[in-house]
Amino acid sequence: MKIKSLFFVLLALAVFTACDDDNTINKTLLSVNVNMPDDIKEKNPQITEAEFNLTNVNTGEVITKKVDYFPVSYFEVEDGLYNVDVNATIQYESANQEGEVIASNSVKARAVKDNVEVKDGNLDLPLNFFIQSTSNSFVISEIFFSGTSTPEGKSYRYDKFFEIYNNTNETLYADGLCIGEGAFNTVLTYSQLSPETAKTSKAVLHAIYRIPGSGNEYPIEPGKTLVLADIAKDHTEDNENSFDLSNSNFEWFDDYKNLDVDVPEVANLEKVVSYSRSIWTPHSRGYNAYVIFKLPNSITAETFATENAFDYSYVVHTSTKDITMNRQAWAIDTDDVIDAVECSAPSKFKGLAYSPKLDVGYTFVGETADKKYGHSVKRRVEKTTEDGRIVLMDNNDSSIDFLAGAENPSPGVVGDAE
Amino acid sequence: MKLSSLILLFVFGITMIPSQAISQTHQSVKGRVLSKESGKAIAFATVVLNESQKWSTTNLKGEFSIDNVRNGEYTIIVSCLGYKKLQDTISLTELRNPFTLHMSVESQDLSEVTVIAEESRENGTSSVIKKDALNHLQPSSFADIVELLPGGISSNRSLTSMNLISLRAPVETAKISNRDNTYNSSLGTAFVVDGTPLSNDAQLQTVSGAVTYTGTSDNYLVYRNTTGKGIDMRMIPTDDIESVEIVRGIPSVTYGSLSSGLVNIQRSYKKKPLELRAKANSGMKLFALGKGFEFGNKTLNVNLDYIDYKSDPRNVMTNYSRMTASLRFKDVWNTNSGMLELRTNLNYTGSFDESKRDEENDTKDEFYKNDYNKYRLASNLNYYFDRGIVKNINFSVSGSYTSENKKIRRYRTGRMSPILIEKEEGEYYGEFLPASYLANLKIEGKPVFLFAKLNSNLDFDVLGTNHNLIVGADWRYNKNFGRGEIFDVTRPLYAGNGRPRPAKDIPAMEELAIYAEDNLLVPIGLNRLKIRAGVRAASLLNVSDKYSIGNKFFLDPRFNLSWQFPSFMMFDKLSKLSVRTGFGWHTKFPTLSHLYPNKVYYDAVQLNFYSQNDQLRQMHYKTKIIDPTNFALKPNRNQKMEVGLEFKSGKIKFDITAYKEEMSEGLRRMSNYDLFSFKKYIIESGPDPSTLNAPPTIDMFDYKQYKRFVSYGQSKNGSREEKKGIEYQLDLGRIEAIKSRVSINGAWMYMKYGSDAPRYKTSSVVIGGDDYPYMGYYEWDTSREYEQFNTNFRFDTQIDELGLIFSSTFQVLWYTSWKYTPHNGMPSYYIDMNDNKFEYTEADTQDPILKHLYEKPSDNAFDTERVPITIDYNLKVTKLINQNMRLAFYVNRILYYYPDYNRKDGFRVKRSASPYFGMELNINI
Repeated sequence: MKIKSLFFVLLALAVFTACDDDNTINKTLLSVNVNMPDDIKEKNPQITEAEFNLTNVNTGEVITKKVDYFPVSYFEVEDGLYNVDVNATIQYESANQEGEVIASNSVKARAVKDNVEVKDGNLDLPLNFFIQSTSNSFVISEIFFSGTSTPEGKSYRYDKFFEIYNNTNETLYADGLCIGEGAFNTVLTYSQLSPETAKTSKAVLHAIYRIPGSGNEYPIEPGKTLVLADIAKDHTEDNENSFDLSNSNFEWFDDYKNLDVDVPEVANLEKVVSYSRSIWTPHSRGYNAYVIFKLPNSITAETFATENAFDYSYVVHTSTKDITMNRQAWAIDTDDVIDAVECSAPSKFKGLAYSPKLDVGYTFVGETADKKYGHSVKRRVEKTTEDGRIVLMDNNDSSIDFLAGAENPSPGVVGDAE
Repeated sequence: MKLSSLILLFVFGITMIPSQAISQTHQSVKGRVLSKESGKAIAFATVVLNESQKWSTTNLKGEFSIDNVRNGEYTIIVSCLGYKKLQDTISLTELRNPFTLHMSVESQDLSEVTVIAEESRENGTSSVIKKDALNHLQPSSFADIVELLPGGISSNRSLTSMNLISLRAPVETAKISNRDNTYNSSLGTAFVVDGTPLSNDAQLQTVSGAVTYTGTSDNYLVYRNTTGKGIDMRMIPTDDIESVEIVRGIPSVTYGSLSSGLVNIQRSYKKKPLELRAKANSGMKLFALGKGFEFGNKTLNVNLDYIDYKSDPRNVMTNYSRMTASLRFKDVWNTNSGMLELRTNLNYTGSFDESKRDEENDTKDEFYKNDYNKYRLASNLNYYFDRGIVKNINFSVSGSYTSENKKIRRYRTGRMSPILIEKEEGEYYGEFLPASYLANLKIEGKPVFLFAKLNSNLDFDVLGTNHNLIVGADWRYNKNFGRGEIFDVTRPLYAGNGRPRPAKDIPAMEELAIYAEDNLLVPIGLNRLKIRAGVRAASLLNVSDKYSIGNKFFLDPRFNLSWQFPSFMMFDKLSKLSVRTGFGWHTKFPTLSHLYPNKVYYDAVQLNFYSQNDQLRQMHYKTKIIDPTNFALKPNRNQKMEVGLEFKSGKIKFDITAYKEEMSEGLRRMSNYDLFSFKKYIIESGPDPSTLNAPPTIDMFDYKQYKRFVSYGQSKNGSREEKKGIEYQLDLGRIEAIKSRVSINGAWMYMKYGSDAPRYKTSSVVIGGDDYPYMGYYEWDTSREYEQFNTNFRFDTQIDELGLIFSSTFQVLWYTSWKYTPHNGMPSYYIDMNDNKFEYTEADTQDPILKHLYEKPSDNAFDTERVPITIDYNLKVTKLINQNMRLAFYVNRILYYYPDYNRKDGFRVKRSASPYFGMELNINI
């Protein structure tokens, strides 16, 4: 295992500098090797802040040392058996395909090591940091955008779904919760994008579907999910490689050219606004980015369309000239975004669809048929609380929060092992 | 031009011709035409006394006689297919003995080979390509020949998509991938083989429900559907061609059913050795075989050819093959008053497209196949009178029957969409499609084309001026006897598609035309004014009274005038200069697919109850029928004007033509709209599915009334197409010093293409789940202007000692450019769902709802886009192994120059090209 070298030394200083010579206790200098979390260790991580808690197992004494500058700060500890627990903030960079840094982000990380025997004056202490996050909202917990393939080897695209999860410890209401698809995809370069807010303070969307309800009709308990499906039926009836979506909470129905079907057992999402009349089908290779946000049902689609209309333009290079594309969409403030997930394809990625403050990285599925069909992106489990509730990771970085190309899409179930 | 002016011109021609003619002494010019090589008589040679415009044809004994010729100096021109044109000056001063003229066989002698398209002005501005040039070009199909025209650019043609002709059109306009392409150029170019035309006007092979424009997953259909688009040149073999004339200018009125141009193919009817040709290049193999037999006066020619083409030799998914056979028979009889010639030909063309789709998901069951089998029989009876005003009477008939089967099999995995099959307006219950099924579609087409033509040449003098009058009539019949689309309507290839219509239910289309044309020559001093003036009146028969196009005559007056200055000497060479001008109208009637579109069935699903329990599923829909027939459809009419100059000095020939063509009402598929009101049953208002034990009925639900815009396509005369350009060719002949024949040709071409006809378009934006509530009415001109300027430098170097010909072509494309006609992106007005019209104002472009009708153009949207110079160097080496065997090898783009260039904004564009090569073997036994 390659060790990323942030190396710093801790000198334990005597607590009692005026201590009598004959009462001398052996002290040891700690040298800590920091192993950065796998997901970010290639991204130039730096510890910006760390709090060390060293608990002497024998005495119960706790030494707490806050370190806010690096690389070195000194302190010394008495020999003994310790439990080490470090909480740190790690800053790292996100780069695009060409290696240019496009954003930096901070995550909370932690390293824990129990029963460390401190003696002999010098000790090398390797610490493996892992990412730790906090979330107090709904999160998008799984997106299945790639579709499945049939036993005959044909692509089957009607079992796409989004799964939303209550990642908090209190009941949340889904009424008015919207799923939106970004107007920008992640595989195109939008040169000279105007206005600038399009990727800073605004999230520009071209399709929005909303959950009905007046405010308290759809309670979602802590640790429970909400599944939004294209067609809410048991797809294994038609394709044994697919799965059952009949227990979905909502489906999107686009009454266009008489092609879609409406499942009466499952309520429809409201199509608030969309750039297209045709049936919404998330891009199979995952070139789009998604947000969830609240839009109370007291606000009509017309009002939303009027108040949130957003015109933007960008430039496309052709072999003969640059063409300004003038587009009309809708935008919400980034502050109103509850959760955002950027998706892309690693070989095609050009840039994020939203402001990096919503999501600094992207997730993806494989780019070959066998790694694409039947694979979803699934949010990772951070921990399970004592009462058995799963807490999902939410660092606003989909490249670490999500398991890319998860093998078994599991609508309605979180916490599948990696 | 009006008919009255035409009559005036005739009167002028007859009465005003100067009768102060040179001499009043008349005599007969008699003679015999013999073959230099064999000494045998040559029948059917045309003998023309150029200055008098008088002509005759040799009989079986090779004899000819031209009566009533004034004394004077004449250029006698003798021409006959397969022989070198003979030109001589004769002096008629006193009674002469019959001439004996010897013609030599057009030889394979390297130094004599003409490998370029020769400019001809016999039948309007045209290029003539002879057997020699074809031998040298090594065409796979007719499409390769078109590259020899001024402005032509050689390219590596794919044979897995249709090859359509587009005369006088910049390459960019004619690409299949150009969505603006209306195919009026290809539809309007007539193909005539041995005097009888080909027709594709009864083809009805369009797949209903498929996307009709390019750039979608339906490309494999779009790229091969020639319905309503004219002749697919892939199907025309080249090995039996003796000579082909491609008329870009104003053809004689004897040719009709065309608006753009004419391709006139003459095949060989003579003794020929056994010729074998094999050609191969990446992906393609061609084998051709031909022989001509002679039995006394009779000749019999047979040709076979086979092509196999794979778009990617490593991938057998998509391929094309063609098989053609033709049997041609000629016989002649001498009678006491003249000579009778019969030419009959029987032809078969098999053309097969095949592809298997979806490499990624290799499902062997899926395929696309199009089998085209055409049988054509044509006969031409020509009686030549020895003397009298009537020179000949010609009667041609032809009939073709094509059996065309398009077969498509695709897996459909799907959305369980509603099945919509009812063929009457009303409300119906229906079912849903299964999630996956194998869809089979067959389109059976059996187009039949019949043609008959009666034509006569009259030759007489009026007041000292010779008139060569051509009169005639022709009749065309197009009908499709096929069953059309055949499929299980409950398992369609495209969901929502369930109302096929048999092709045979569509009436036949008949076209009748009569024409007259006078060719006269007026000497004015030492100058000569040649006038060809004619008019063609064509009418579409057998159409119902509802059509405004039917039962009326459309007049095509066509004039070609040339003024030849007296010959003069320049650098010791006899030189000639002539200028010419032409004007004409050309009419092409719409085809069956334009005149008789299938009805548009518009459905709205009113109850969509796709229960998770398949026993409870219910669907209810309403059907509305729209007839998109455009009874006001008019033919494509193209007006051409041109001026030109021709200069000859010794063997140097220079020709330049400036032209302008205007088709103001070309055919185009345009959008139209209607309003449709229907109900939507509200699922939530109905029973809980868990309480049901049978599918629900509509009475269990509340409903809401809805309205929706219905858009549909319609053939209209909405296309405006303008062509302008300058074509030039300089043939320097053979320059001994470099042992090369040098020629330069090219063209500057301009084409404006588009529509200023109003269009209806709604936005696809959805707000609050409902369809966009307005329909925009747009009037701005969608035209795009294209320009292209090219020059081809050609060197044909013969090294006789080694038996080699090196053909080098520098193909210089100086630039291509295009630009859109400026517009403001706003509709003129918009229509709401109650059919009220409102003016669309500047302020509406900011309205959150109405702005979606505004198509704001980019700031530089109307700038000219320009691609600078590219040069290709193509080399072809032909080796004469012995008298009977030739081997040729060619590499196109063996060298090329595609410089990087900076755009106006400093952006650098890099370009590249790749060479392609092939070889060919010719054997004569």
